[in-house]
Amino acid sequence: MKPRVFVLLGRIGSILLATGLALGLVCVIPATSGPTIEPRWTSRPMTWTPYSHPQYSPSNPQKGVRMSVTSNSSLQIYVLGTHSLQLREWALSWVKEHFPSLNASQAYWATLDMSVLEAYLQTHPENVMLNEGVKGEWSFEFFPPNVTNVTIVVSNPSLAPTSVDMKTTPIATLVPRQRAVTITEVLFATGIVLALPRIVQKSKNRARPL
Amino acid sequence: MGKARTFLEVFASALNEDFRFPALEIIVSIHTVGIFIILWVSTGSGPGAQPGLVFQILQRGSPEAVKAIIVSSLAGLWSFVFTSPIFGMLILKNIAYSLGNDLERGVIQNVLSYPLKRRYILTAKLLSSVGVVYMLMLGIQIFELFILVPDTVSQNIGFVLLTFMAALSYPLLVTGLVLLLTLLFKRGSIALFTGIGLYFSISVVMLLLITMAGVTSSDIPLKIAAILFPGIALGSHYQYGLDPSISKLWTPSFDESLFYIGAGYALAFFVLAMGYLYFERRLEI
Repeated sequence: MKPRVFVLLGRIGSILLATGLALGLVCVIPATSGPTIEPRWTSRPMTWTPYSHPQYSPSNPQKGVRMSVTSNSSLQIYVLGTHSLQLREWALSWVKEHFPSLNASQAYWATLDMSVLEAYLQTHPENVMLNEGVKGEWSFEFFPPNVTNVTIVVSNPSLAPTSVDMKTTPIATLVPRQRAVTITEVLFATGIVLALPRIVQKSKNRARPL
Repeated sequence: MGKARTFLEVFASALNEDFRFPALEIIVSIHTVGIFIILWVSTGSGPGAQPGLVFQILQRGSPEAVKAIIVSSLAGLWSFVFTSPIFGMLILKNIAYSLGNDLERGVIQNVLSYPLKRRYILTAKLLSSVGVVYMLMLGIQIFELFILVPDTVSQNIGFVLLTFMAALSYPLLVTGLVLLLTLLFKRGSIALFTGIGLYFSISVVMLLLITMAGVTSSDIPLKIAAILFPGIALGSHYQYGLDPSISKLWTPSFDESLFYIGAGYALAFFVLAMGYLYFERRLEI
């Protein structure tokens, strides 16, 4: 009976390995990309700029954004899980609440101050999906863990104006990669453990003289 | 214990015959890659296309909207005919070709020499040729859905299984018919071709029944269609897949849909039971 159990377990193991292999193959198929948008601007000192585009907002685990930033000074990049309009509305209401004497135009410019962004980050830490310090060239592929609106925020914490050259490209993959890679590893490990006794038995049988 | 051991012995040997290494592994790989590619193409293949939309509805939609998407993705004729044909063919090959060959060449006598009642021998054979394939098909598809939308699957696992059940009663009915034909003719070729014909002609039969319902303004053809393919009943309940003028004729309640799933399986098990009876009492070898 024992060999039958080995055969059965070995077969289950080889099926798991085959599934893992197939999933691994699906994971390595490169992401398809949409048109690249290349905004360029000069960021004023101690200000922030929200940026979003319907091509990648909302994003999901299969559909994300490839961003690359080139700057001549250090910048702080945030990816926030919110709509850019909501972010602007929140910033405006925060400014109006804290500086009621400002007129509409002044209030608008005040929303771009770093202190407003800091207040947002403190009150909405759950929306911060990426926080990265950048200097020179930097690129990143971002896929959120759930369906969410995406706003890229570029803040200039330095006291000098900084030129920002940003490229954003919507990308999409066949499977949510992060999740699939973990599952592939589990499948491989389980498959090997289950198939190993059968492989050892087979190799022993082969080694045995006739 | 002795009988269980013998049963396992017959099952293991049937398994070995039905799925020679590495046929099953290749099929599983093709199916895994194929389903992802089909889903990718069917929901739009660009970054700005529908994958995001489906995710969005699944995450933010109402429970009923989520269920409608599950039904439309899993219980439709499209998904049945195009996503599972490999497994369908595998079942038919195992029943008609393997069992048919065993009968034709007299190999079945060796199997019948086991100290086991005929019905248990047939059960072991069916478990290998149908049970394993069904388990694999369900396992792979649920696993793939889990990778794509884990929250939706874990929250609606009962409903997902029910939807698969609705989609899989027809292959079981075809399996029963092919088994019966194989036993009657004691050879697999006729049964295999009939089975393949029945498997793929379901779309035409459904279309005819739905057209008939539209022409006669009667819901009876739709009910017949729902017994043959219970996915129609679930689809009608969630208002998916049928022309509005047709679905106006018949919108079953959820309980009614369950009744039609039950009726579909009752029909399939009745045909299988006929095969069992014939194998046990009438089959002369």
